[in-house]
Amino acid sequence: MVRKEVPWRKLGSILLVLVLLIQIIPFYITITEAFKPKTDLSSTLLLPTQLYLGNFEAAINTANIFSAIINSLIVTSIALVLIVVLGAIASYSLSRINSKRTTIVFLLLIVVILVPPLSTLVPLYNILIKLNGINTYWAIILVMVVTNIPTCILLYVNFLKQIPYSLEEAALIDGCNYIQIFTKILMPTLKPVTSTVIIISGINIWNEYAWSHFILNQPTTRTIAPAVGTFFSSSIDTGAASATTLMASIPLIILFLCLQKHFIKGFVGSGIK
Amino acid sequence: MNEKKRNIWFNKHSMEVFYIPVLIIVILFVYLPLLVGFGYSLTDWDGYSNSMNFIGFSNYLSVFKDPNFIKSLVNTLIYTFFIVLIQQPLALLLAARLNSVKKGAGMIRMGLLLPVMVSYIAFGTMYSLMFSYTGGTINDILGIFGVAPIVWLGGRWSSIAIIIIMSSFQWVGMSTLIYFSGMQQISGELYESADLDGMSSFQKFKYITIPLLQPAFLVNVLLNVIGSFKIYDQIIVLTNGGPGYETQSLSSYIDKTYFANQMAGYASAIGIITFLLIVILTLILYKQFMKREVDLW
Repeated sequence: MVRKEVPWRKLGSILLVLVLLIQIIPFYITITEAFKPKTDLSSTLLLPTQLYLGNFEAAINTANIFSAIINSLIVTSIALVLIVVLGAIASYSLSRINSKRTTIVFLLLIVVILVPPLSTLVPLYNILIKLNGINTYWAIILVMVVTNIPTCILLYVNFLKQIPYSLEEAALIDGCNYIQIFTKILMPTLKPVTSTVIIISGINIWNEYAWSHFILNQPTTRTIAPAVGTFFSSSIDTGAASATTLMASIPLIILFLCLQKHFIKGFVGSGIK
Repeated sequence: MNEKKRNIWFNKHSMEVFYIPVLIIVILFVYLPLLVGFGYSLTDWDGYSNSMNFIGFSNYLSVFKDPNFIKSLVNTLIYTFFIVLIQQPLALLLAARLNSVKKGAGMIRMGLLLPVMVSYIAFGTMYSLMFSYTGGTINDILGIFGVAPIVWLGGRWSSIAIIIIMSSFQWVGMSTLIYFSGMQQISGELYESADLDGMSSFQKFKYITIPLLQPAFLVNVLLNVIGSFKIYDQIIVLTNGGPGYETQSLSSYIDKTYFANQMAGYASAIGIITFLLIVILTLILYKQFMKREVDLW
């Protein structure tokens, strides 16, 4: 029996190594390209012979990468706070009250997961123009909250429904009101789901392109994904594009490498629902 | 205890105010735009001027006579179908192999998940470095074997193939992880008794692992289909819909018809159609999964 299993394992190992290579090679060639001057026409697979930093200058000056990173930090952090706070309290009432009304509200919120961002491009863009929301933080933050909060509510509601109500009844008898129950009893138990919500939504918002690109169209207001996009048309300057890509990706990659266990737990949590 | 005298903070139903902020922003930023978009879709508005004439459903009729729309629709379906077809089986196989890894599982997972950390735009830029005509990694490697350089992002089918490959690989680590965690929850006793019955590892995979992974399947396939149907960023970064309209998806075609072609009414109609299509697709898939009789949530 054991003999029979060997070919399957071998095939699996080959597949695993192959996929790992496919995943890592793009990062490798971006690193090599980022350190090569335009005149260096050696293969992208070869390491640069000298450490050329001109491309990073281009990333900082042309793509405004530092201001883009700061903008992304502002948008992502404020949006995450709103998502967690508004999402958690909404989920609390949605999971504890069983009425037709709450079911309808829950469905209305969950259907948002299905709405492609571009399907409301014309109307939402024009609404934001009328509200003077173009090139403002609040507009992009609210759009990011709206697009990410449904998943957050789905995760919170499913988690809260597993917590027995008897715990809260006991607290009620002891004289706690519902706000105290939420802050003192439920919030501590919500920590694992909250980290899942923060990781999943954080990655989505940090990397979001479509709405960030439409709402923030000035070099000074841009977030990182549209900043990387400045090099689309000028595909000639691959070095600068690589350097920008690298600088834009590094903050999240470092965070991932440091908090790997939390990230992986977060992803797994999002799948279990 | 007198119910009426109780403070509102003790009344469970007063907690309903908690969902009102979320409901308001969702209505303002999703349902109102959908409604306004439906309104626009019944007009010939160009997106800039003040002239807006009601033309009924004629945008919806002309959509289906528009070869570029048909192409975008077909492309979107091709993207969705093949991304799911590549990503899901691959993730399942990787998860199965990862399940029996003893050393270095953490490193492997990290490698698989690395692309999830970067945006489609960044990963797409990396892919365009690999597939560019001059100095592209793939053409360099082919050159060693004497193959003439290929214009990878020039033709319809090779561009579509590259967009599909990039999209299915970028998030394969995430799907793998969800299958992997599903596999870890399957009791080892099932496999032990299967061993006693003399099942091969392939049989165990087919008769134990696959059926018990149904919830993970539902989550992964639904998320993958919904995500792929919205495909936009990857197209913008790799081909910008071109050459011509050859690689356009529904989302990128909306962008094009609105900003470049100045047909806001028409773009709104495509937006509404795209939304309805994804709702229908999701309902069909969900019902198919439910038919299989698995206790899911």
